Amino acid sequence: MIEPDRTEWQVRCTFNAFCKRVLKNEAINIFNERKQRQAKEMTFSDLTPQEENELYTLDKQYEGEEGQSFQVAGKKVTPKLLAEALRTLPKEKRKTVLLYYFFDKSDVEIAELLNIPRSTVQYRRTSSFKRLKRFLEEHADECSD
Amino acid sequence: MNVVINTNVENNERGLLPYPIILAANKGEPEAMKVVVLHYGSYMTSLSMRKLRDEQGITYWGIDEDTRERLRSKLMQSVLDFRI
Repeated sequence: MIEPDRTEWQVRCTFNAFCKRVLKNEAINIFNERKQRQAKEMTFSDLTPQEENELYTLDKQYEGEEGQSFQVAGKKVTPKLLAEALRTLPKEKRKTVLLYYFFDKSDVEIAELLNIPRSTVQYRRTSSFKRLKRFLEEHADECSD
Repeated sequence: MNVVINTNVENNERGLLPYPIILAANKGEPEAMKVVVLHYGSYMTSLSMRKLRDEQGITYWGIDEDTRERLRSKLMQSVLDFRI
């Protein structure tokens, strides 16, 4: 290796250029690495169903009639039955009930959201209760024990 | 980025570090090394700018800290390898 023999001024210039080049090259390396990694990345929608199923497990709690149930006044109410009851409601009423119970919204907020009068929300809710009640009374199984 | 700064013009010391500092940093002097890192700090910052995306999905230009850390360690490593 030939030892470079430079003046102080030349060393300073070379050092400056050297440092800048090192940084620039490293920045390019980092950029290329990131690009390579991104090319290998996959979205969930591109996975096959088998691969996708391996990524999570489902809670079996709400599956079928054997799931959790409530016993009220000698009748058995299962989540499935509740879901069926909700499904019998007209679309607007169901929306109102769901917003009220699952999103903790007040009648006023629901009215604003759906662009309808507040009293309509109240009416829909109370009439929904009657329908749900009738449906559950008819369809709930008698308690076995 | 495309501006050509000709530091080789005589008596133009813009962007150049003093000779003793270069010597000391090359030998691994911590104080001198600090000066060198500080000197190229803004360049490293500008190199580590990239488009980032936050939790709300908004994209903006920002400093990528990982990149900057890597550049800094690379610089310190290379300064020691510099042959005067």
